[in-house]
Amino acid sequence: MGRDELKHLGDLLKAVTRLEAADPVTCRAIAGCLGIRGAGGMRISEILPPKEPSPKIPGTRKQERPTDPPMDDDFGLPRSEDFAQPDAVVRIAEGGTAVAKPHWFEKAAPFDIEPREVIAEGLEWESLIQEDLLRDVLLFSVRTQEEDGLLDVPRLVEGVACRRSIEVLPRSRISSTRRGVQVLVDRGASMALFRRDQLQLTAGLEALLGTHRVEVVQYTRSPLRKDVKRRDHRRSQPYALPTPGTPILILGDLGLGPGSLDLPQGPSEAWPHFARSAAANGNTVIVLAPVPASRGPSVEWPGMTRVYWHDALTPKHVLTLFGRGHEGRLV
Amino acid sequence: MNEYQKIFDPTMTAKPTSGEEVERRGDSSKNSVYAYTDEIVLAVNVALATQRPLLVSGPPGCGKSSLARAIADNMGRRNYEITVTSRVELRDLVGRVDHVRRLADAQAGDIPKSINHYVEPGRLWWAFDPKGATQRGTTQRGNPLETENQAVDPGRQSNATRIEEPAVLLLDEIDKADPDFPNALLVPLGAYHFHVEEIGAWVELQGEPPLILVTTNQDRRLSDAFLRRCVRLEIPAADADTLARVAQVHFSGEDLKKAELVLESLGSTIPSIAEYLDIVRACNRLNLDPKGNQFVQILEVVLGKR
Repeated sequence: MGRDELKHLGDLLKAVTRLEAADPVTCRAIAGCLGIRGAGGMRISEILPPKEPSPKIPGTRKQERPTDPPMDDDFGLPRSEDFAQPDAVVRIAEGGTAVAKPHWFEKAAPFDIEPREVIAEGLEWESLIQEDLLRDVLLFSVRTQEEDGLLDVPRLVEGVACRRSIEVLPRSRISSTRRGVQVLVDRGASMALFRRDQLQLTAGLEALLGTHRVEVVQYTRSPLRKDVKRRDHRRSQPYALPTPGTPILILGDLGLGPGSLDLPQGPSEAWPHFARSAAANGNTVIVLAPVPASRGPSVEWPGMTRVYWHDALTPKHVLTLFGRGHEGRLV
Repeated sequence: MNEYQKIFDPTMTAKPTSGEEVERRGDSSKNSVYAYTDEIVLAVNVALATQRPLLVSGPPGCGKSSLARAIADNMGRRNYEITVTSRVELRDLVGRVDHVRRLADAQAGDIPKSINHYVEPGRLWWAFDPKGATQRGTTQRGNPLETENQAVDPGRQSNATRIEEPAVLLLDEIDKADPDFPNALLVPLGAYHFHVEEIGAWVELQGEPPLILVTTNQDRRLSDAFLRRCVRLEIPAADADTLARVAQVHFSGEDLKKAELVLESLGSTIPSIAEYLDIVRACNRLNLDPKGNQFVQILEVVLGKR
């Protein structure tokens, strides 16, 4: 029985005693209601059917994968005998052209681009932000300051003392995530190494704020280009800024990353324009860029804050940058 | 799976007679009936036995929210409901001071009164201590307020005859709240007391603990600390058998026959329970034949939103 399940033991005993549960099926159902899933010891083990241990594969996640269906001989995939013949594999000649293609090559479907589950279940990967720090890093990055708190008595008294008519009660400012966040995910070649980190962060934001408050937009080079993709609509459509006050989180390098042969040197001219548009619309922009501050423009654009996204980033760094939250709406 | 002593046993619920279909009030009904399954009954009993909140999840329209009212009616308990939004905070549940009214009174030259006159007790306060909530707590000298200033029970229509009974409290759609909101509930729901910050008062549970139902559409993952304190119930999406059972519970006589005809006409289309009941009600009230041509239009109107 796991540590978490032990915490439920008191509740389980209480429920079984109080309800006078007599049969194993009911006891098992009660355990299920209390979130005890794989009870592996104590009395529960007597109730549950014996489980076969799942094979442990190094470098993979614990999640069990379904077994592959039996393969049809004519499916067209390469067979071991194909590789026995040197000409049957793709080989690049000195001139740079392929000298031979195996018979299955023409029939093979091209790789699907970035299926999420494939990326998530691939080789072992170490995230830039540790799992236990992720929630606070994200929370401190996207929360805003709202006048939703308790009554601000000093401001109220000042208004009364000055004989101003009070139309709206002044309230203290509190941190809130109710505005949600728009996440801009850079799908450019220079960010290919950070795909899983991007997925980790967007998934973390959805878990933290709820899917209904997270809008994910994919772009290459800059979101002002026409080929942005929203995750909920597969078709490309023009980019639109979120409602005023909603923070924008960019998971990209602003074109400053290494290894992007298709990108111009330095940030695109579009970024200052984007920053001005967002500021004019009342949106703060936070850039999580895996590029140190020394690289790139020394002057920050208005309303845009760049955070070095690396393995030593902690909630404290983010808290130092943003304090108790962004302004609800930029002035 | 019935070999246990039920604290909550819904088998005594009266079924409406023909032509006496349940009167509707939005998503709730005046004399609510509910198609319970063994799993639902067990989960409610476990929640009552362990005195833990019952976290109910499932697809929209499966009967998460209406379960609270059905339990309250069945057990003769007081019923309170609050729909959680991103702006809801703990003080909306426990109680807040109506500063605007207080300021207006002060500016109108009224004699300054105790701040307790302006306390609006929240649903949690009503569920824990209805007498204290009626008196808006006590003044700093420990005296109750005068009768004319007493607060009014937000569920007075259905609770009038159950004032001495424990409560059922529904926190609907908790996943819409700020991420910290569920954690703010840990102490009130675990220790059964809370602090009303604005008046500096502690409110403690009087009598039997309320049954607290928390619903979620699973838009967001709730914290482990919160989940650990909850009894969990997942209501699955309805299938044809479920809808047939729902019809049996909600209708009788001619209405039941029509409900069964509707189910036949739906074919492979399986709506949610709420949508199915809407279709049957529409057919009953508008005297539409479920086998007729206009039935398709009814489906489009009711299911077109999906």
